[in-house]
Amino acid sequence: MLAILFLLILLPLAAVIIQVLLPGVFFGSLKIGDLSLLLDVFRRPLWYASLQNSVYLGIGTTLLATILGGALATVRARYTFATARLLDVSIWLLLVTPSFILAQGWVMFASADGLAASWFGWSGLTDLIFRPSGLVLVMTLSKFPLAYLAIFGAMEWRASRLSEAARMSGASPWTVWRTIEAPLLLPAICSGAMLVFMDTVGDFGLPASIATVFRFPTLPYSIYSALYTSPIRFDMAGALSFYLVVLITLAMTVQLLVMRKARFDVLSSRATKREVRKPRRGAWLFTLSNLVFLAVTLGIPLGSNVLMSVTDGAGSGVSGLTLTHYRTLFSEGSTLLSGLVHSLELASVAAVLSLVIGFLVAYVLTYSQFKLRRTLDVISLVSLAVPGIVLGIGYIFIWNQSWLESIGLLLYGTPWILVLAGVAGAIPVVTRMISGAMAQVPGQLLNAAQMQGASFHQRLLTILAPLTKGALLTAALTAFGSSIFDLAISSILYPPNYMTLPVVINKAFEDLKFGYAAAATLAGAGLVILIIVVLELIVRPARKQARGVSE
Amino acid sequence: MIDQLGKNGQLLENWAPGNKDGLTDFAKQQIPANGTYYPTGAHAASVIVYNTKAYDASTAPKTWADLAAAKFKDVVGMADPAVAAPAYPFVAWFFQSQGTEAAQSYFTSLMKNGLHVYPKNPNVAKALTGGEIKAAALQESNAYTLKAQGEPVDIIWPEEGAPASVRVAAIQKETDHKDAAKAFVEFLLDPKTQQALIDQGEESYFEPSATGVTPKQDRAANAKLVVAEAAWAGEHEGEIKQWFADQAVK
Repeated sequence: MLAILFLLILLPLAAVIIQVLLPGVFFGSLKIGDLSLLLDVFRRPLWYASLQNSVYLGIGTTLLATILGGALATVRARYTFATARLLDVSIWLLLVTPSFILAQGWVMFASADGLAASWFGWSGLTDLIFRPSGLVLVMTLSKFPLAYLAIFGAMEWRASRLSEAARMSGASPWTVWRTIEAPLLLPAICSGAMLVFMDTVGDFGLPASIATVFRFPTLPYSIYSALYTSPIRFDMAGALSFYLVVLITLAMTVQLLVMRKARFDVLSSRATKREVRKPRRGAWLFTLSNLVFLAVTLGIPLGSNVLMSVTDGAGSGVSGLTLTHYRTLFSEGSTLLSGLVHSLELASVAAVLSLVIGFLVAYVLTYSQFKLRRTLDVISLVSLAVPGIVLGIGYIFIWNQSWLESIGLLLYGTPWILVLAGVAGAIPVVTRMISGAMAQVPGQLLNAAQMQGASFHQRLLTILAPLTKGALLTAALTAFGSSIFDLAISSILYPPNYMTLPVVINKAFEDLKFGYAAAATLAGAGLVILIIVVLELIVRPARKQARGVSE
Repeated sequence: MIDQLGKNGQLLENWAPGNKDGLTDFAKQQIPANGTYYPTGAHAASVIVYNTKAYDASTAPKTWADLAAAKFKDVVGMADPAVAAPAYPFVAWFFQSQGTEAAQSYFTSLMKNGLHVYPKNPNVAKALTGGEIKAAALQESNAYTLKAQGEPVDIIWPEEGAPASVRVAAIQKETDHKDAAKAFVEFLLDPKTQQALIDQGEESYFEPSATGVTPKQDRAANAKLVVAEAAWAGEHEGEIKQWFADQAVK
């Protein structure tokens, strides 16, 4: 188990770092690396700009998204209002929508001849959005759900006795918030901010989509360019990846230091669940601002996709309504169809594999006394922090070595490498979902079965799997959904003549076929959602029945 | 790139297709001594295109040097040689024919003059019709497509020549399907194939490599292609692209 995780996650990451020190090692020559390449990041203007942009985007988005997510979570944890459920649903929707789709929506909306300019005459919007601070805003609107969920989770329970005691002693509500409630939320705020930062600096979708209209190289984008121009520079991609890993490690260290300073386990049996109530006055104001907010965060990017997919172009207006783009999607020999089929195949295999591995890892974490349990947990977490683009390069270093060919394992250039990368990306999430469900199944059940002579195999299949069926399904579907839309990994690793759905969409977008890209996005996403819903419907009722029998 | 592959011994050497002698003089010049690849056609990596709403034939830029002139400040665009495939041959020609220093100072003067660098040629075309820029160094089929769509643009072939992107066909040395590959190269060099590509193909604006093929009617008669030597361009590709990328980001 440890070996599998090591191979899938740690080895590629280690390869990126080793490659910086010994550049030739994966291509059959042993020589000490020229470390000056690492310092080049401060000498080469393009690299330096990429580093600066990544840091700026990362810090700016982290600050803004944490404030926004925190504020929303505070409001939502206290009040309920007419469209509050809609906010909950939208947050999840934003969380699962890949950043390249959101960014494409913004480009279609705000570019010089985009929807905003041609439908509403807002030509000033272009300069407002396509500048570094504008991109921070766009990024914030797609990443704040991470901070929102982290902080909202911590707000559900409150140690109200502490606040009440303070109030009794004469503290004002502001003082109470500042000295008691806010510090108690600190761990949640930190981990929310941390998630936003890691997701932002590693994000490939946004810079890739924005690049069609605005020059804003970030580390992930420059890594991608180093691999996709001739001559290919693996060493440069490795050096830039190194800095990306350094940024993320720095952020994690800062968080660890902050968290270490104090203890936060203040929740006791006296904690009460926070009551959500209706605002005393101005309920309509909550509803209105919520609707406006959602119209901007979700309405603009998704609405632009819908609109572009059914028109000739942004400037054509209502008269340009057409279904041509959808027709070309499904015409014979369409790249979208083959891309979709490829992505579905890859994601299905990846989902099944990550389910099996995740199930076993979760079993070890929950029930065994295995000494390296902690290590297992940490490795699976690491893959959550490593950006897809870095993982992708690591995969090239590992799976593109010529000696592998003699044992038939030269996986680079075959679809299998995409499957492996998909599994690596899905494992942390899948493992966590399954361990959550396993925690509710007492170990005695398994011990009792073992006493009766049930084999390990039987115990897993007849006791554990049926009892955790719901979580297994959710985990598999999550793995399926996330690997279908992973742009970073599939852009780097897709084999020749084996384009995947996100690659097809991104290529169409790069070639400015906005209508086609939008139609492909919606058709692809629609199909994926349909598959997930159908599977849910088929498997869920069966679960209820099974439970009825066991009771 | 392909030239480097040929030098590294990765391509089939010293094989001559049947129509080798039927190629144009321009095409013949591009064949390397070891016969590893043969041109199938060439198109201008860049021609000068301008928006006719902004300029007329007399005020439009006519030479590459014009693009750096003060009156075209902030209105000129081109594709990024590190991203767009045809943009590298364009830049490489300046570096080889004028020497590194002169080329660097030319592109630096363009950038100081507010050059817009877009990732690919379609982005340049879009900026040109959208009004973001008024003149551009644009790949030829993009340029003619714009014109065919009725966009307000016109095309100028500079007298000193338009740097060309040469398309070639080569065969992998170790291939298991040598005969099929040879037949395909013969097919690509066949005048009938090239004529069909021009008459019915999607990328139909190019200069055929076989004699006896007529280019598109509306393609300028004075279209003069110039080209950087493949070996030289291949050797210096990395450094030139890097230099350009580093300058453009400033």
